[in-house]
Amino acid sequence: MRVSRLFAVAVLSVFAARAVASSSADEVAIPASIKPLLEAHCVDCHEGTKPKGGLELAGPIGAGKIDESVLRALRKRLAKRDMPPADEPERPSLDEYRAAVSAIDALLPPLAREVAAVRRLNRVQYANAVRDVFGTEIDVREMLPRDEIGEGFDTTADTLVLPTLVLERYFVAAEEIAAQLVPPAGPAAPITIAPDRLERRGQGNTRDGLAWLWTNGTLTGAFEVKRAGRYRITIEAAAQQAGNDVARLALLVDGKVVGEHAVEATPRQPMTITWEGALSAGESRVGARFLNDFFAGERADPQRRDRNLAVGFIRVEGPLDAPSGTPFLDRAKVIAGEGPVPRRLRRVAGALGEELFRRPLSDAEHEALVRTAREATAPEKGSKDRDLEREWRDGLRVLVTALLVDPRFLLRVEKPSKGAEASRALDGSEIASRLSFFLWSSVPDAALRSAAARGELDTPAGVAREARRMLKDPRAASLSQRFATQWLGIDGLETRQMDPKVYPALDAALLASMRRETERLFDSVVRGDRPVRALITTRETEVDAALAALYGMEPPVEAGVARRAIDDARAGGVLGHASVLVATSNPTRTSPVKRGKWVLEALLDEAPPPPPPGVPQLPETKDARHGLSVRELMAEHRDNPDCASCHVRMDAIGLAFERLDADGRFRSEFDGLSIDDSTEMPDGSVLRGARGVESMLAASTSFERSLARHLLVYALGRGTADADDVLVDRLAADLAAKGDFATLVEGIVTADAFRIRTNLRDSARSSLPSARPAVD
Amino acid sequence: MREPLIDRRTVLRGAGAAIALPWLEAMLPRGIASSALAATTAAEAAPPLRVAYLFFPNGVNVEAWTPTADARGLWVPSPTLAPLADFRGDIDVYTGLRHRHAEANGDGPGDHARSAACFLTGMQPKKTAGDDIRAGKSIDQVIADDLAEQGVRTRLRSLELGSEPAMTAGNCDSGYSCAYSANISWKSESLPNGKETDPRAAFDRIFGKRGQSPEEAAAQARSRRSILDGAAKEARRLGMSIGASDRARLDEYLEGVRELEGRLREDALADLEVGDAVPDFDAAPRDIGSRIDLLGEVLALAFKTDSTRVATLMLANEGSNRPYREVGVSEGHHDVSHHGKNPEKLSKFAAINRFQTERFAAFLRALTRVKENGRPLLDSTIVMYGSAINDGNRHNHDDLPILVAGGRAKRGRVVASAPGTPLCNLHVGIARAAGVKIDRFGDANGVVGI
Repeated sequence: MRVSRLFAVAVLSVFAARAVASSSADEVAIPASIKPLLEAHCVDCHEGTKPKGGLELAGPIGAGKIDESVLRALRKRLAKRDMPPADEPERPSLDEYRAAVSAIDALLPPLAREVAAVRRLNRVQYANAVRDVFGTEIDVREMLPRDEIGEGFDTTADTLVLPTLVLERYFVAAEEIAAQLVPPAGPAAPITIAPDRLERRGQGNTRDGLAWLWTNGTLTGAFEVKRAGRYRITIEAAAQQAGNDVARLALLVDGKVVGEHAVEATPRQPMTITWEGALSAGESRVGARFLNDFFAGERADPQRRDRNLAVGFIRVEGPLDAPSGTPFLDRAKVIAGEGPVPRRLRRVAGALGEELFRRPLSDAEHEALVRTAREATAPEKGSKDRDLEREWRDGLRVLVTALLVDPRFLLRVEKPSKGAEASRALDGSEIASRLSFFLWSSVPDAALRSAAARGELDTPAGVAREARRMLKDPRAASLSQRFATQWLGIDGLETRQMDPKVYPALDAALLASMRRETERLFDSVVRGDRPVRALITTRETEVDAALAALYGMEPPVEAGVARRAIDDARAGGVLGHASVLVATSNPTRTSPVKRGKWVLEALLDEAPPPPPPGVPQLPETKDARHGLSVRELMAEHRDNPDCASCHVRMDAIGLAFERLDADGRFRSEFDGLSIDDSTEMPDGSVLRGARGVESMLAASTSFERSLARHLLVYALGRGTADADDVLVDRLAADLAAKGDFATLVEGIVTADAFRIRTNLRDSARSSLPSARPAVD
Repeated sequence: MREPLIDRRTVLRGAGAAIALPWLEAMLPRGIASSALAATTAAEAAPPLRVAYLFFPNGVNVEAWTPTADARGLWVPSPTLAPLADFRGDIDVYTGLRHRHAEANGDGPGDHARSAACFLTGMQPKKTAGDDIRAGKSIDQVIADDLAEQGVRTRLRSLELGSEPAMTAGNCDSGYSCAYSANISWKSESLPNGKETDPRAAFDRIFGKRGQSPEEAAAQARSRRSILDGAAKEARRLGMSIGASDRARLDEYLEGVRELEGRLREDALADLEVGDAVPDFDAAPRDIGSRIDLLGEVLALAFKTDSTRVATLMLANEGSNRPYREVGVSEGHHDVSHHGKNPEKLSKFAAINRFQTERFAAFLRALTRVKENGRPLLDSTIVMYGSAINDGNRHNHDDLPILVAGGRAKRGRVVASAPGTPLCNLHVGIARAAGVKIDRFGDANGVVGI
């Protein structure tokens, strides 16, 4: 009982702090219909000189007026029904809660949000669009900087900012992609790097056409490989001899030693060393390393005192084998048809432009794109021997670059509603974009674009039909890779640094395996093979050999993954996944607090306020050995009122996972102490281990509500506000009733929030002083 | 005659100083002399001043950080500052400075997010998980804009570097968007600048890809001009129907295109030949210390070639929980910063603080190796090093750990301000030293001169 009071205090403290923080105290009348509820259920604790949580309600009720911010905070509590505390004997009925919320909504329109009409693609959307439109396997994601996260996701419009650094990286990526898709015709001219262009590490100088190394070191030349393939590299080398050995040179290609050579040649008659091998596209580096410097200053013969190595030119020829075509070039030729180069480019601009810009292009738009390509590459006037293939390729390369940096591709624009118009139904191509970026993290395909053109996306039924089709497409895997990983906090798990002394097996490969296990489960839910509840209850999983070893399961017979039943001791679904267990641990040990917090935030959608400053963390195991188990140490949380309010719940949940180690393995004891994973919740109920957490989650629909709200945030690119409560409640109820992921997606994409733009961004401002006057 | 001279080397060997060869000096042949600025700067007696801000997260072990002052008021290295002993005369230690707007002020927890967002802006960031992020324009950007208004044309307006990219999944700090914790440079109140985290990519961005022939470079410039021109036209056309509240991304796009167009013009004039001074990106081990030091070397080269005059470098994101096994700390940085006065944690925390001070020292060494008119570049570079949290355990934002190095002045002092003096006063002081005539910034109520 005492504990629950403390919980109540914390919730109200947070909210009282807000009330105090609001300096512009706009007072509003308290709706008459909620006064009885407040008087019956709230004032007992919230009155007098020391009201609970610092919130005094008797005064405002008497005066009939209350701060707007306090009323909004009250609404939040009433909507979540977490005040009065759950253990109060008398609480309002569901209908009373609802009536109170509507009464407040009638007085104060619930806070609503709208996403900016202009936002940019994130790097995953950009990369997937390039993959889907150009059919290339180029790893575009690695070319772009990681996006900032807002509201837990990298789809949030307001944090997808576009500083120059980011725009520049998009430009450079576009050039690289275009260069790989459209290589120059014929073999490239040989590249020769002169000795004075070599980078030297070590001491030396460059004289008479030779770059010298006087000490062990390297001379390196960098060049650009336009097309992957086999290349021949020729290096001119010479040496000044001394000592018993001959000067030795190691040849390096892109940092790797590919050969060692004795250099007997003199500076007057250098030798050449050749190497042939594969180079990938991009910058390459060839180096000569001097391996055996020798110096003996005391020798009488000055010519025998010092051994030095020199390099003349480095020449690169190739590619010797690769054909100069690419699958994209073949396709572009088909689209382009016959005729003069500008006309052919125009056809390609139209076809690619429509895919990338997510809508048909006007004639003027075609012309402008072709003009850009031609201005960049037009042959010099009077030049007689025109090389049409070169003109075509150069033009196409610029065209592809231009398309990939075009604001119509990089930015998603939804026409804002105008003037007094409060809202506007999005048009077909705008809906198509919302659908494809939500479900595929990519641009719409031809079927979706034609559905838009036929007007099928103007009705909820049409939108739902397309969404269901899209969920069956392989591209829907982006939901597990981008939504689920961010929702569950396991995105980038492979970069997590666990202590190798404590958890030696946890390398990046194993961490990636763990992430993929969770993605596979989520994929099966997206496909409809399993109900949404399976995410926290399924007793099956698919593991690869490494994970099978970790879990102590039978390894797959063949390469790849195999379906296995999970151990009885492990909770269902992601609750027993190593990915989640690692992500919620510290580098050296489990963290019951982080696990409890994770369950509250991700699965129950209740973010506990963080600890007050000055609170130390739990000591490491060394201190625990002084006779206290982690569990006993955490009992201190209960005794300290500052901690108890939140930690009682969080710790009870987190400690229930204690038989699962920070690497995801099962354990029955820790530091020689057997682990008791039965814990007591504030309401007196007992959680028996992680399976007890599973039962607790399965007993309510909070899990469905949490998934629904998180997916809505991901889909819309903005956080939710009070006005979204009704929608989130409905999504959760439908999902709980039907149980399949497609129902949830259908609920989101047919909602007004998804299909209609409202005019709510007046208070938002432009991030830069203002655009310069348009001079065109 | 193709035989190399051995005399020089013999001398070096004789002096036993083979390693002491100032490796950058001779190897940066033209640099600034031929840049677009030559006309302006050559006329002036002194080279232009540059400003760099180095930030580290999670505050310090206060006892290990705090240096004492000797009888002359000069600081005596503390355990954390010991790696800076060689630079005592180049560094002032500041005490008493505070960032009021990194404190809660009713916004509840979130000191890490707030301290990074406030560090160079002096503003209280808006508490939001992502929608409508808002802090303030940072002092480095105020300087960059002012220099641009003074007619200074560098290839990069400013340079933002850091060792950790934007965070991945999760809530960064108590309801604050991760963008607050991962940025200190804010171009405007709602536009964090991001940062380059790969030393090699940072180098390529400044100095371009090597291995291009002049013809290829010219063709590329022509194609870029044409593409930028077309992109700007389309962006302006799109912008015609978009109102002020919705056009942030479009304005940023147009601003970016303008900056890139400017870069193309400067490229044609700049001489960025750095020859042998290219850092050895391949040879360096991938540990965090070498990576930060390489970023520092790239930054020194950027200053040397006058590619930019203002830069920021985040040694790690705020709240970073990276382990520092390089110095024997397997626990996360943030975890040990909440030491709770536990001696083991305190000593691990101090080890991380010291490791970061070593990075600062390495950067100062790079600025010393690079010479300009025969003087170390450090003489014409002001470097501020600090955090917006004092005690990592308490999250307090007063008596902040702040050092200032370089910039033509004789240093070595402990500069004690009255407790509670805004750190923004020092921001104003540094900006003024860099020739930017401002009186007010953030919550400044005066000037702390440097």
